[in-house]
Amino acid sequence: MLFPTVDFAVFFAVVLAAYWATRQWALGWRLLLVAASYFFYAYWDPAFCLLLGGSTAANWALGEATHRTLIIGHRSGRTKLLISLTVATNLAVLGWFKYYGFFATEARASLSGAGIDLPLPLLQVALPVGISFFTFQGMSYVIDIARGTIDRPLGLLDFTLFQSFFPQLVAGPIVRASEIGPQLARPLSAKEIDVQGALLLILVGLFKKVVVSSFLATAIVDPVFAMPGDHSRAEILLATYAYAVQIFADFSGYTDIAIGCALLLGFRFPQNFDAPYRTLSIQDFWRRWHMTLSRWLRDYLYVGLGGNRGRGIFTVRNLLLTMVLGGLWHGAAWTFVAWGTIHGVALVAERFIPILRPSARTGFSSGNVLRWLTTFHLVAFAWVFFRAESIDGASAMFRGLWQGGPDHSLVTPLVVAVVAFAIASQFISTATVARARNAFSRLSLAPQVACLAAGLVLVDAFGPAGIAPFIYFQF
Amino acid sequence: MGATPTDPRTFHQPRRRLDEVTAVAMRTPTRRRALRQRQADRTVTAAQVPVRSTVASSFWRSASLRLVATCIFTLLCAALLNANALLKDAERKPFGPERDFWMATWTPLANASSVLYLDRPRAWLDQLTGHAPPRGIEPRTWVAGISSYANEWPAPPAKADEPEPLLRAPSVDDPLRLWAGGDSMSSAFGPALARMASETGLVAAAYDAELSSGLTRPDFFDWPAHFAEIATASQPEVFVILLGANDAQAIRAADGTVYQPETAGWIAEYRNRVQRVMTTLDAPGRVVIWVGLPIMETEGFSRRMAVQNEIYREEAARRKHVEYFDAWDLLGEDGRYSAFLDVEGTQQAVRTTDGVHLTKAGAELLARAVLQRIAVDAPALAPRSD
Repeated sequence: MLFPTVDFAVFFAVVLAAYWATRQWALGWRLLLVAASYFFYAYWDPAFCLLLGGSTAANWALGEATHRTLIIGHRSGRTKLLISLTVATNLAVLGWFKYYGFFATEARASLSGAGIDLPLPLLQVALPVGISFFTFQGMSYVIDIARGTIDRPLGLLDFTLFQSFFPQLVAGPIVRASEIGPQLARPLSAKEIDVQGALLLILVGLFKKVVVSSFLATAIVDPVFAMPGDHSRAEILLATYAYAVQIFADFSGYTDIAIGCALLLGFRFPQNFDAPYRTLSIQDFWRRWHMTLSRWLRDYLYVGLGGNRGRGIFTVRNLLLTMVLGGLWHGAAWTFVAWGTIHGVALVAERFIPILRPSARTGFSSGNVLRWLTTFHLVAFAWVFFRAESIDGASAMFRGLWQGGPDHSLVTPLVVAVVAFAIASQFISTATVARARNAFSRLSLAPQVACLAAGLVLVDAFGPAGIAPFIYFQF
Repeated sequence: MGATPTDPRTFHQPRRRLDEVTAVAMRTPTRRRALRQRQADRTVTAAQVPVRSTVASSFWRSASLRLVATCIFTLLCAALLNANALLKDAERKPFGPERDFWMATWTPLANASSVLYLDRPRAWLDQLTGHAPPRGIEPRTWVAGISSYANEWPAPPAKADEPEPLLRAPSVDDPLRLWAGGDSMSSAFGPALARMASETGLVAAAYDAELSSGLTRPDFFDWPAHFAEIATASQPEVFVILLGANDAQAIRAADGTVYQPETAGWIAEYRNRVQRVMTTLDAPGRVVIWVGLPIMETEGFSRRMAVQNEIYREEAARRKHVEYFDAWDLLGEDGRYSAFLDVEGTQQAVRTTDGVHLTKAGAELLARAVLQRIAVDAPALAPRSD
């Protein structure tokens, strides 16, 4: 079920009413949310529910077993064995569903050149929606138990809800048991919920997704990326900027809706975006873009590899490996490897070349303007690999930027204005945003409802006829 | 906390809370005063009588009701303001119980919205954004718009035997105008063909893929009108059409009868629509390549696609400038569905995991073949080396 649909609105209204009616009954609301989440997931394909259920059961059992191997909170030899088993199981599931097709095709293609016919069958494995998200969440749960981050493993029902909770099931934020566990256990009163604030967040998310993202996709991004050779330099450059805005509007819009829906159910999710395009370094970009993935990669992959504790060369290896694998997490294609590599190399350069080292000074200065321009362009051009269908497609974009082609007048004032405004909006201070939200919250109920309803109508009127799926669902 | 089940107030409380919500929403001063008084009353009662709570009573008396009511009230207001758009979306769904359900839900709301003039802002916005319903076709009387489909068409001229090129010789300065498009099957194929054709340097190509569209539901997207518009506006000399994957759904004839796929009535009505498109585009100096649908993963879907292909093939054969291009065998293996095919020496996925659409490799395989077919009528486009 996609968020910006009537189906979801009806589904959420029903779930919300039933949830608050049963909230006093500890077992009742948990069962309700689990059932609702599985219903939500089954909307794509009921068969995927078996996978979600299987992954949940396996990770829960592994978590329980891991907890029993701890000796007064300390890891034993068997704990390490269980951790290896957890990582292997989860990666095997992810590998099969996400990477097998890519691997088999590539392996056969490269070996057939040498005259070897690999007996690997070519299979099309359907990619279950959100598998990357819930697999990562399950893995981090067991590792957290071993590390002692969670004192007490979750009960089976709580863990099932943690794994399948529908606002974050298919595209994050990637939450942790240490964040959700206490929220599941505490008593909750509807009084503490800022209903209108949550509804406003959902509305803003819908606007970003349905209006901004779809508009830029059809107006410039899709046509230019489909035939880069057939467009002028200005069009290719603007399409590159527009895609940077599109992917931000799409994904952060999704996250806003997810966080807003969770708030209405009384759950607080961690923030996932913090104006990522205002950043002055790639290192800072990763603290602001898809923050829950960044911290996952940092805590479980980078630190697991040894982080920056070893000699310089090991730090380089760990940074590069983390970013390449982080790229590959987004999809089985060379384009994602290239995207991850660019970010990895940039992070290494920032760490080891003194002049590129992120500066602590933030204010407005010529040095910072230069830093901002460089960082933004590096991020935007790296996105070209992210969006392109193949490495060839990405290089066609860069070739077109160099050579230029016929102009199809896609560079319209409206597109330029939307892109410029979206980037400029990242510099609005959080205090201003908070003031605006407070001003809205201070209004009385009737104008609030009127504003929200009118906003929904605006989103629908300015949006396209059909809703394209969120970009991040495919990861 | 709450009143005992024996307390008569328990039974009044649900109704009272609803009153309170309305009072807040309406902001009537007297009601607000009454509300404050009631709240004060309740605080006293609750403090004096510590009692066992039940699930239902605590729901009605807590802030939960207010939360749920606010959300649902907001959604209802939005639905009322947006009722016509919701109704229009429901109308576009395939004929069946789901469509009936949504139609039954939104129709009264749309009527209420219209009576209260609440549909005006949305209508005004639609005019502003250009999303207004297409000229001349009222949103809910689209059947009238397609009544001309049932016209009888004159017998087509027999095809000439000599294979003389139907297209002029293009040059770099005066390239051949090509348009490729259709439904989502064309979303990878259209750009692939446009790219390959323009790489010859002799073709100016455009493409257009309208997702979820087809000939069955002109109320969703009116292809006949769109084709006529393209033909006059940009005058393509080559039309490459690949659509129909969404067409195996119930069809409504001009007289209002709804026919299910694979019935005689469906076939006749669908044929009418194919005829109308082909007749619009069949003109001298032009070639229309109508690409048939490829074999699909599921058997039933494949069968319905084959029925449509037969219609395209027969109707194309009756027109001089329309050619049917068979993609069934090209994108299958020995008459069976295959997700992987040998493309230029390596096994590549040609179909996406839904068992319907084309991957980039599949689209390019088809585009190469279609480009070769176009070269029959414009020999200058024939690939030089292979």
